[in-house]
Amino acid sequence: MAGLAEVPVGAAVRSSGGALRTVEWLAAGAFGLIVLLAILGPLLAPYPPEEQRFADGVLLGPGSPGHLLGTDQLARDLLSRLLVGTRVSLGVALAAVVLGLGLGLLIGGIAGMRGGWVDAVLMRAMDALLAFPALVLALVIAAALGPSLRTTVLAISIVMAPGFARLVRSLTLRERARDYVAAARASGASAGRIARVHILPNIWAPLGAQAALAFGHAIPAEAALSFLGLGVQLPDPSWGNMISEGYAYLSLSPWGVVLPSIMIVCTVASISILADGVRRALEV
Amino acid sequence: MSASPLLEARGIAKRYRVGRAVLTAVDGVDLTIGRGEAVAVVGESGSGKSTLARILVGLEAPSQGEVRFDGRIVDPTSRGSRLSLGARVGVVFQDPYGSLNPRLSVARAIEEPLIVHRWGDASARRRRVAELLEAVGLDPDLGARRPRGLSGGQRQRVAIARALALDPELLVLDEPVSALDVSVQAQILNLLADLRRARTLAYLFISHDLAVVRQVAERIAVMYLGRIVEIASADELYGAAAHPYTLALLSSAAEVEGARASRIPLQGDPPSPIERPGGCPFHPRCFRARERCGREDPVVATDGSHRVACWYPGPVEPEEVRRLGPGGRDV
Repeated sequence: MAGLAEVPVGAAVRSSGGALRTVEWLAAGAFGLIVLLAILGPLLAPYPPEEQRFADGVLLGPGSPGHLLGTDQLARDLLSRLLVGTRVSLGVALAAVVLGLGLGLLIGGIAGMRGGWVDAVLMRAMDALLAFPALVLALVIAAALGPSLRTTVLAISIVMAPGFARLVRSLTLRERARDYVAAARASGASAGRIARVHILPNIWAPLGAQAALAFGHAIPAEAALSFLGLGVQLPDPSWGNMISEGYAYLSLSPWGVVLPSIMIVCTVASISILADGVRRALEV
Repeated sequence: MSASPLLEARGIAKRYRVGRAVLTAVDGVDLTIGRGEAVAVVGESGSGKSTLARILVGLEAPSQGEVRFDGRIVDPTSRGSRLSLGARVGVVFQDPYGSLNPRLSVARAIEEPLIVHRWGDASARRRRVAELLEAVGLDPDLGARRPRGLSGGQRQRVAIARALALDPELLVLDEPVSALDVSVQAQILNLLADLRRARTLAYLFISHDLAVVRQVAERIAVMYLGRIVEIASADELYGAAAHPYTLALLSSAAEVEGARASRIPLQGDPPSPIERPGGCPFHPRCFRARERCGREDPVVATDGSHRVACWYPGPVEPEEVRRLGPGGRDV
């Protein structure tokens, strides 16, 4: 923590241009560590996440013998559940962003390339989706399709699709007005070729930054759905359903809620700071 | 050789809806370009010359009229039409910074039309690109570079090489030098002149600058508010211009060159293409305008290949010089 206090905040704010600021490098490091935990988590976990060890005790606090972060109400090792849950939560968020981005590229790309009534119909449909509060929409989708890991991914991606579609459309329109697109069109290039060669390579940078921000929204979205029982289903651990389970025993032991919450906050903060930095760096 | 001209535009009009109003960018233009002929279209910004160029190369559909290339109708909505036109017409745009895809290397940008038209195999295309780079006066080693590191003049040479890739019969040049430094302008104009000497290549050269056009064009059309107000061979136009608007443009061009010509004033700014004046579109700014000009559209007076849309065409009269004063009237 002493290291953090030494970060020269003023200097970091002043520095601008193509390079990342110190805070953003720290965020990149933190996020990299979380991703590493997600990848290696199951290997690092001291116990299987479902294993109940009543002999060791329930609701143990951190630092208990044999359980670095303690145990939950079913005597499962919290560290193991947290590590495996990191992979589940990050995996759901990543899949949702990839799917949402794919939907956005498809819908926004068609709207931007075709224009006219196709554009009008698609974008009004996206506006209609945007009109719903995001969480309510996700809840409705998850409830309608029956709660499961796959449904969670689908629900979050559908909530994200309109934002991506609007961005893809506006970026596509910007690129389409370029003279090199006119030159390609005049030479007889097909719409698909123009999209592939001239438009996509020129819009991925802002899209990537948007995807990173969306990832930061997908993490709490998964947590919220799972907390409400419509997301990742037990006994698979995710940060959301861990909080949900721990919530019932909050007065006896806060750790089941506090530990996954810390993970969520760290993940969202680091990816958001990193995404802002990368976007600024790319714009210069 | 067939009898039809290379490019023939008849009655081209382009109107855009702007809210409830209608913007008339091009208003009934007839234009032909012969094989190997260099034609220039000159006009102020907003005269509709760029819109006309986009229609002629099939990037936009006219609201009225038709364009024929080598006798066949140009249809922007048909991919087949765009493909066959693309093989025979090259386009160069004004802004050398916007006309090259920043993600493609120079060689790849020039190769792009070849790929679209399935021209040769990879090695034949590579040879062709090197050939083209040389033809526009660039070092073939430049091919590996991205446009980011190139100067405006170099970029414009790359754009010209790309336009020449499929060995077209017509090059449409939309203000190809107006974004460049004057010294670079001369080099590009020389290059364009050289290219025409080496092959049968027709030019449609769009410009706002009569001085630039003089070095390139054999025939010149002067556009005002979407219409061609005067069209003549270059010699005829520079020697015996008859439309007051052309006379005004020529006198301001002469002034730039430092000649002591009588200055013919253009009164005010060009009117909005949304609220076009009635009668002759030029009459509110014309030094020769009379009552009739505001009432009736002028008929086109034809003298051989010299056509003028004016009720009172003719060179500047001594009486007019007296009336306008030695320095002309300041606007």
